[in-house]
Amino acid sequence: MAILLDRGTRILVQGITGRHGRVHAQLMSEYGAKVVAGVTPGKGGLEVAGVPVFDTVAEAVKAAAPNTSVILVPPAFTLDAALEAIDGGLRLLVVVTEHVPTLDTITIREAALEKGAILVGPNTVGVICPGISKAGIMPGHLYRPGHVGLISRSGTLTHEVASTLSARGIGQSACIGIGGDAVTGLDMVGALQLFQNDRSTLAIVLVGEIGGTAEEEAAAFIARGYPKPVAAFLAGWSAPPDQRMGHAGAIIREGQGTVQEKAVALRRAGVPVAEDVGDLADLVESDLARVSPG
Amino acid sequence: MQFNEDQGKKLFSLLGIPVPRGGNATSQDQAADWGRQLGYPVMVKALVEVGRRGLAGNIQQAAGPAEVERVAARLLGSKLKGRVISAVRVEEVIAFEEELYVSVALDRARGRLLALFGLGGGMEVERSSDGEFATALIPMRRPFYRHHARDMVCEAGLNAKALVSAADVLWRLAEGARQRDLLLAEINPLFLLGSGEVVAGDAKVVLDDDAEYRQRGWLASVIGDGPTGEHSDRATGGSRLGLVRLQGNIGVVGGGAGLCMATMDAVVRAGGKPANFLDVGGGVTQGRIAESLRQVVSLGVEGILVNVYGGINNCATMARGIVEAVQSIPVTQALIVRMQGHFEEEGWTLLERAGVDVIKRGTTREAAERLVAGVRARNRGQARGDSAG
Repeated sequence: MAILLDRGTRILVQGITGRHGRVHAQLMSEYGAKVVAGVTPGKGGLEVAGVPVFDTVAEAVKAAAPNTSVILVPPAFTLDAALEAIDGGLRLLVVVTEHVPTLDTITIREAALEKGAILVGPNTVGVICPGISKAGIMPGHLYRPGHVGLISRSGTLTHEVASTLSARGIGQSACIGIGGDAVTGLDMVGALQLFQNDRSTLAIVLVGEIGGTAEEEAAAFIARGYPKPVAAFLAGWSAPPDQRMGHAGAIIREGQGTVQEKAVALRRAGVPVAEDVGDLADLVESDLARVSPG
Repeated sequence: MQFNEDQGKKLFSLLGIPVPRGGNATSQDQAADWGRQLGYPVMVKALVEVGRRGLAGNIQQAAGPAEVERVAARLLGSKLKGRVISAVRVEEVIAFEEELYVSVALDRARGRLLALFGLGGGMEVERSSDGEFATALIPMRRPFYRHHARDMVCEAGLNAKALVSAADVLWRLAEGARQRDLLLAEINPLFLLGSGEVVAGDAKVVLDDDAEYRQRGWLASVIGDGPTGEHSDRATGGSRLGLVRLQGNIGVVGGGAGLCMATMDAVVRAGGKPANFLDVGGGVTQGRIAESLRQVVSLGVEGILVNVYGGINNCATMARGIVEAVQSIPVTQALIVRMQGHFEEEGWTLLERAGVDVIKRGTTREAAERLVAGVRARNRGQARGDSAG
């Protein structure tokens, strides 16, 4: 048992008849996840990747009792699909779709919060508990079961870090892509809180990049006392500086945080920061050596 | 997409927010025409999407036709923070009593739209803290009523007619942001006149690029005849980034913004210099990968590192695109492809058959070091060849 997913997780794929939905329903099933239903309005009655397709989430819920939805519909339909899943009582939404309008994401967040559902994404690779289940699009063979909880803002950097750790024999309890957009559902702090109480997670890795304040918020949260060792990898040391416009950003500290600023905040909170994935693996190895029983 | 002031004020007019009379001019003659229409004096303002224009002398009052032409001539074609000023806005001068501050902006940390209202508008407002403003989170699934706006303006200390007119602007701005996908709508200053009326002195507006598709109905009328608004930099995750040119010699093609940046970082650490940032994004086609490589080759780079994962993308599709580019351009530079993920075996086979140097399980660091060393060896070989000949 890690976080967010377990062996009993029942997955619904919204947009299952689309190009990505079809492929990833199949790949999730092959990985061992229980994909129990798909939804595409107008395509009810079909079967895709051995999974029955329904016209509505309500029908899918009645027939197959999913508790997690992986949303792979085009951006213009994501708001409606996500609200339908929340109304249908699904507990976890993984919105893979990128280019979802920001105000749609904010609306989904509000609805999820009201109903107590967890939103991961948008623009995320999803969540994987290696060897247990996968609600997302990551190539499963690059991930290995183990005790590191990985939280990442970048999709492909999730693969990059996990595959490097796996190659070094360091497995993961769960890997969460929180999504690369300006606004996401579950954020770094929320993910840290989930890992905090998870007994299978012994150490945490944060993967960040330029922009936003997610890393700074995570640093502030850790600085107040976090019971597990945390190490970070950041990308964008060589990125050219951005332009900013308007005063509102400065007043509400939206910021266009540089990696250098983020590294300072994290290190001040006691989180070592690696510029190279190999160096990160060294940090995690020593973290695990310190906290592993025996 | 960032709007310039003229575009922003056209949008404000659509929203029913009072703006000074005026319009944009791309020549001295046009500027003088506006002067005649409006009556002197007028304000001449550089239309360029950067902050703190006023401090750099890019906003100036002109008393008559000769002066308006002189100011326009000085501004047009000049540069501000690296951007060429291709138009100015000429508008009436507003006699105000006070400067207010109003904005509705995306608060990333809270993940909400935040409305701000304050009495101390003007250029120095950036030094303020949010404690000096009345604030409200704009709900998305419930209405934001005028009385919510009045509460904020009242809290900030306005009353009587000024309260009603300022609150109306705040409400219209909030509704405008909600319905038109604005991630920033800022009026600084909002002029307060002796009559209690208000007029928007400036306009800073950012439209969510991802929502442009559903805002086309009014967008053309706002940006149509002005200089094209620039797409905001989305270096934090989008895939429509396109190519960002840098100074170096090593071309980088990455799958995902984060991995692309990490690859650039690795190139720097290996002693090379990235020539560009290019994220191929999700859902790529063979053609898009080939085009990405074509673009990077056209920069005149000495080596190219392609670093991609098959997640939402398919390694076989990406490999076919790389092979297409290598064979059709052709790619004569040192090229290394590091690729793993979904359908990797198929992808590797296609690349190897085409003679492309593939890194299967090696790290980004190894890939960068091998490429930089390869480029150095080539350059040394060339130098020797040159001196021998």
